[in-house]
Amino acid sequence: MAHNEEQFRALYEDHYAQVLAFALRRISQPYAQDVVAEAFLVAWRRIESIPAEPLPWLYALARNALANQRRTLRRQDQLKAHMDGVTPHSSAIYRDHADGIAEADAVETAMRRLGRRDQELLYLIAWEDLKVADAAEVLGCSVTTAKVRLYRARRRLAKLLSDDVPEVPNSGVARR
Amino acid sequence: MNTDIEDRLIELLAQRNPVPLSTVESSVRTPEAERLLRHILGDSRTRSTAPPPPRTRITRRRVLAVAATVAAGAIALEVIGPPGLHRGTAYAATPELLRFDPAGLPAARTVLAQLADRAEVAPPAPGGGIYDYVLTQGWYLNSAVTRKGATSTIEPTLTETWTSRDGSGRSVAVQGEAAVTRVGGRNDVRIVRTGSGRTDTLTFGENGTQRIPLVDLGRFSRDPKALSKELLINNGTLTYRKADDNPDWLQRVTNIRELYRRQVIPPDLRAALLRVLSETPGLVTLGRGHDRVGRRVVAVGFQSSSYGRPAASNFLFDPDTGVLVGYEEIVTATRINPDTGRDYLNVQTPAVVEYEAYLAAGRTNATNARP
Repeated sequence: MAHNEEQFRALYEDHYAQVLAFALRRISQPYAQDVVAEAFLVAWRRIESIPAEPLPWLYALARNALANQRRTLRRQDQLKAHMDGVTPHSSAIYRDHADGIAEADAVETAMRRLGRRDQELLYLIAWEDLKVADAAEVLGCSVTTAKVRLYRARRRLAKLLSDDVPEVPNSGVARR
Repeated sequence: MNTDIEDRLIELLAQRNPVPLSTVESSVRTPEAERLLRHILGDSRTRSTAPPPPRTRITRRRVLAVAATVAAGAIALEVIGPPGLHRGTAYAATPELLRFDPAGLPAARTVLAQLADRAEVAPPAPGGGIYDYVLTQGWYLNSAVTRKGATSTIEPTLTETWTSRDGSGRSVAVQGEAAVTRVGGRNDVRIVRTGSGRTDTLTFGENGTQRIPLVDLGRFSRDPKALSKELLINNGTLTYRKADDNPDWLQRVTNIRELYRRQVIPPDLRAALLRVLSETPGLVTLGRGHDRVGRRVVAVGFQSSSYGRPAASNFLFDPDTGVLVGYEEIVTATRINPDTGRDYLNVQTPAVVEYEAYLAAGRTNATNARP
């Protein structure tokens, strides 16, 4: 037990911020904190099976917790109000002073037209800075599948920007 | 070449990271993070087979509730008793179930048809101006603030929203309840008690919030068949695009509630929405009664699922005007968490898990005026 606790403390110390950032990028407080709490609780309960590289595994736990949270909030119809604070397409929270603001805006607009699956994968690559293999672990698919999906998602995104034609989402999954 | 363009797009997306890691790097040092760590490790000690010592223990569900309240800056820490030992019956407090009498009322479809006829000729909402004003009283189990004593408080929230066509406006939420009395044939809404008194004010479009434009209600057909299809389309301002796991009728119900929560609904559209609602599968007449703020109502309901288990969804209407005045969700079956041996929501079923009372609606010209 003492060894497990030590191991968990190290895991928590090393990755709490990253898991919190993951949650905050996708849902607002106080629900992001719930997501973090649930992810680490499950991690503690599965302490015996923590992989050598634990971060994608933690993100996968957080992703599940996020899905649970969203399902609950969706039923309460509160998700909309709280997602307004920190949603991927909430441009109000950006303070981007770099060149190419208009360009970045266009990318964001195009992202909103992609299906949920494409968005999820691209955000893991762009925001969590994951390699494809790690993103595959988070999403629970094979590396080959993730590579193919990423290839197609990137192409779709580029096409949306070049055509400026509304894209039919590939997954049919609602955005919220 | 295409790859270069695609790489550049990913770069641009990365630049738009809403939460750079640097902004949360030291978050593990915050009191919230340290409290969570202690709670999690404390939770583990309750999993031993020996009876735990008589200290407070935090179940998984309570950790989530505590984490949320800590993050909100509210009073943290509540006691629920050792998990798995069923000591005491420290369930979360939930509102009383409303009672209805179905005597003399026809089937739900007929009830709604009659209400629709009344709604069509009822007067429009009062006032004038650029803002749609809506006052609601709501309580949601997930948001209930918990305190010491092993129960959650049933403190509803009164929310006023003012929303203009382009989505600007504001909302003010205060912990408290309303009471409604009939004065000269009209409902007079008064706030009779404030609980914690906590007030949250939000101006739409500031501090990262979005402006969500009002739905152009003129676009909606008043023909129930056409309206039924329109309620499934996300035009950018209705609640959701249809999710794969949402049947059509649930999507319509969700969007109807959304409209009532944010906007003033003209009489002819109210009637059309009732006619759409009457097609909900499994709708039954619950009967006559009173709502939580004392208004006479007639209620219909249907079986749904909420929080992953069977639930009842009830609609409450003003019997004279056909106006939708309330909505409630009640979980009707227990679902045991195998880790804790208790219900996932820590409620005794049947239990109300959320309710909304739509108290007033009208138009104003300022976000501090009432119709």
